Amino acid sequence: MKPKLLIVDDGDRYVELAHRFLRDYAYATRCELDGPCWTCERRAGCTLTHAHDAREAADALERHPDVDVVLLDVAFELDEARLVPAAGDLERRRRLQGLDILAQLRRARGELPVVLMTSEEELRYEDAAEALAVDEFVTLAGADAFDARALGLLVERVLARRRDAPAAGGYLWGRTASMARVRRDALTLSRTSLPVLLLGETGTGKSALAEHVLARRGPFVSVDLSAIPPTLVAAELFGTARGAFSGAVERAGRFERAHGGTLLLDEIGSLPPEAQRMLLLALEEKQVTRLGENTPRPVDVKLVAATNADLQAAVRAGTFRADLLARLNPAARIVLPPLRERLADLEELLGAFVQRTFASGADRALLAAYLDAAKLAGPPHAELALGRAPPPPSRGVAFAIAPATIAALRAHAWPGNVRELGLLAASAAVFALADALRAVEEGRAPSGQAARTIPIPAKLVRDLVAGSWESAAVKTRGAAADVEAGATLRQVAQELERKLYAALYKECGGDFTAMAKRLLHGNASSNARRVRLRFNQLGLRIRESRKG
Amino acid sequence: MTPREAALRIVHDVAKYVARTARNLKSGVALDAELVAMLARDLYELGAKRERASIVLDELAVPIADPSTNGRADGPPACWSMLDAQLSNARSELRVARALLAEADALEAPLRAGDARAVERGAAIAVEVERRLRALAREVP
Repeated sequence: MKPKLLIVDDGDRYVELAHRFLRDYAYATRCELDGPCWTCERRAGCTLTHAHDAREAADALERHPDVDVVLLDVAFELDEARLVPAAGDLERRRRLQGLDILAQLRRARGELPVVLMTSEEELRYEDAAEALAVDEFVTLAGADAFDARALGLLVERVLARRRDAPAAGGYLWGRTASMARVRRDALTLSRTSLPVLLLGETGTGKSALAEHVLARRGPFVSVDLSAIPPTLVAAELFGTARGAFSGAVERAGRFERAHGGTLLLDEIGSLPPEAQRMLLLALEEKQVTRLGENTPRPVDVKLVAATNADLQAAVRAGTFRADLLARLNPAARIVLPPLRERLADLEELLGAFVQRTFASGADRALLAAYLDAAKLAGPPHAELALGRAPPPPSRGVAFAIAPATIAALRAHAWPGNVRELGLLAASAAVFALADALRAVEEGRAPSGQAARTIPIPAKLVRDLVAGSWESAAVKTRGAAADVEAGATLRQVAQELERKLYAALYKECGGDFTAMAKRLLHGNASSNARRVRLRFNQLGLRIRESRKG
Repeated sequence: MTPREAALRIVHDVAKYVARTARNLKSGVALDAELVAMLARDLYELGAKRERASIVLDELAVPIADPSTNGRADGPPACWSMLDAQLSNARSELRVARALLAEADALEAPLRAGDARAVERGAAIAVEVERRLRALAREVP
């Protein structure tokens, strides 16, 4: 898919230049139509649009929310009414209008890459621009002028860097040896058309790896096969012809929609037998036939299959075809480690999740509201700082987390893996920010630079961990630490359940009816029988549990 | 307008645009009609009024070229001579740039017609004019 560019420049000369030279890189097509091109709907294939001032830039981004990169001029010779409202000398505002527009862009679309088009004389404003987190500078005039052809390469570089940036949703590799292997294999497989099999527990980042690393250019289509009723899976994947079955309409399947790009089949172990046969055919013949049709349609799709199930066991049990598993390239499978095996990455992941939380959307708006209320200058930016009283950051805010809280997080079992950590980090930061905003509004918060540091209370994290996944009774890694290394998730869960039953048995003095009231809704006496049955199934004995 | 303000305007309004196309051309490669038209616009249709670069430069360079308009009323006579001395290098660059643009003006008809030699010379002039005008700006206090 071609990247979409927005050029914000008061004149049309450099827009024309970009059209002429970026055409070689397939970013833009030449167009002879008059008027600002952001108002035009007739430019099929054109991926370059432009705006002359801040208002047009906002309109253009509203009209084209899928813009990938903004190329922004610095000096704007405009009437005062068209400049971003600001105090100060009119001439200076004109000379630096690009920076005011950049600040607006950062508030509205913090994640959007911006390349500042400077000239030799404007380079001295780089410090101010860097504070606004500009992605790249390009000099289009002067002795050191950038070759406009090389703009294409620069755009590629900016996009690649943004794609890999954690705050922008890029993949979080961490630094553990197991993830280094995953990275090496994934990057290799990303350059091939071979199918990829991703294995790993729930929440380890299989879908993100498929989308951000393994996917090739073109459409990315993701299907969670466990969420589709078995009778509808084939129609969903391969499409239907009108009348194929009662109520069937002419409809392309996910394979056809992913043509030219990547198809992620999540929970491939849930694929029903008939759909397995059709998938095997599609992979071997590179064509699909809609249900109710006889004519196959060619498809060019890179397939990524993901699961947390044991496909070898499924083959042995006869629920998964051995030939389909062989076709999924199991020899080059990628196994994502659970978070409990890469705890060295925990701090880095926490920091990245905090940044990502405030990169866009309502949470970014909340952060902007806090900065306004606390009278702190600069665009919304958030980072994580370790320590009880870390030094204030140079821009935005830092969420301070105490080493003891990190230690408590390391002790957690993380059954939901990286996904669970991400939600916890976002929730902790947002709750802490909301409290800080309330404190500022009520006049009981620190002011000045001190307001740039927002502590994340240890109790808040403890409460979030307690409510994140398991019951409140058994929730720490200590409980699961008794499980042998290499145990499956089911074994870990069973051990946790056993600990819960043993603790409750002790608390209730061996009264199964009291235990049932704590564990289950409904009839207490029948529930007590079920609890006792489960108690025995878990291998617990009355005497040993009483001993506790 | 002070000489310094005039120099900055010259860089922004003339230097930045006059060599826009020329600095991106590959030497020895024939230009297509689109690029020739872009080059002609840079040399002969500059600014909102679409004037020759030579005319835009003449208008903007008055505070540098003409000592009587460069803010003398604001300072004592001793400052005038110091300013004149400081502007002498800038005026020298200005003279060269003007001569180059006059040569470009004489080439307009064959350049617009796509004559290879005229196009090549026009592009070379545009790049040199930009260099001279940036040097001029550096010389103005």
